[in-house]
Amino acid sequence: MTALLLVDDHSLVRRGMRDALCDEGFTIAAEAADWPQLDALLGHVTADVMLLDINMPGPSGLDVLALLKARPNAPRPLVVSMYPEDPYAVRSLQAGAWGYVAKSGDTGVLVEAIRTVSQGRKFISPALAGALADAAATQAPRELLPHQRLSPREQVLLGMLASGKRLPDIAVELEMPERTVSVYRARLMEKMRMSTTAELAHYARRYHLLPAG
Amino acid sequence: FDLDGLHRHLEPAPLERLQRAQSVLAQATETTQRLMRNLRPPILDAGLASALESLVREFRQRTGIAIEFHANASQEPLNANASLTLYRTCQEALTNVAKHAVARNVTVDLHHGSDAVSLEIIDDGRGLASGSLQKPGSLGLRGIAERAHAAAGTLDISSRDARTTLMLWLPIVKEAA
Repeated sequence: MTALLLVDDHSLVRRGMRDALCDEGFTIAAEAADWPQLDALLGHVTADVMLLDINMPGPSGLDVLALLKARPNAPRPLVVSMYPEDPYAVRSLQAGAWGYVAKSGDTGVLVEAIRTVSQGRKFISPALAGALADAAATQAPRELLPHQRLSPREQVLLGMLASGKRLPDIAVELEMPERTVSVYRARLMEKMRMSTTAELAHYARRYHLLPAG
Repeated sequence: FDLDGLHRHLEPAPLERLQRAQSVLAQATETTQRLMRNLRPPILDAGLASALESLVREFRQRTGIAIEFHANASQEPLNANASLTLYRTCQEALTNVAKHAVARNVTVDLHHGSDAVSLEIIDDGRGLASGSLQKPGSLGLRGIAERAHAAAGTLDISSRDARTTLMLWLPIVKEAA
């Protein structure tokens, strides 16, 4: 019989899940309302699947998923949340969840999810599959050089910094406050993965990015 | 529950009034909850990047315009006001692009730096009329400008190579430990 660990800060929700799932033949090994309680339970409770809420005080469900990575013997986490799949489900899976079920769905879906995860397979509903496909498409790596991924402002700034212009002069020329120039510079340096103007200058010379004259 | 308990003790006429009052109370509670949700969308609880990603997805589905989202990793969680300001700015900027810009490509880029967090929204559409760059009262920029000012942020709007950029940055306030 599959043993479950319920983690949700609302005791009424835990009670509802407990009643519904006991009717379906599951055992509830233990319940926790937050990470400190869960942490204490993990030392001595055994369960197959953990039902984990995302929205909790203190460490949230996503934080807990990260913390669980250090506890390889913990029950497999299945996120059960009041939020719809998009975008929470993708984040949950990336953080280590074995599946995601929206509370607005019916008990049958939750039961199927628990059974799937208890058998060692990830539970991917059609809605989640759609959200995952969307996320994969958006983050597809592009074969671009670092400077080609800069925004228009950042590109201009790259040329000016690489040719030795100082911040106050850049601020005047681009008609922005100096602090705004600093912000653009920070963005630019991080995207270029560089930390000095010398590196920028070297790169700019190599790719012929220096402004003429 | 207290109000329900009264039902048993009342004659028909006052009972009807009680029931009407209960109905008004239920509606008021629902409206308040809705307003509170609008003040701070719960989606922000999953983090600003997730929330912006969701706005980007909605924009793509609603308009069919090609749109990309980028964000770097954040060192620490942002304070609630900062993330709400950035979220609302993105929401308004994307609404403006959808309504006025006639764009084909949009980029939303969130950057967490060590002392500032910045959001750039770039589109290749019609662009803002040259006057409005100086006068952010037009074309829906007023809300964005006011919100930026209230959050002690700085707005930078520019146009180059047929692309319009709106950038908002906020200084990072270290949360008290």
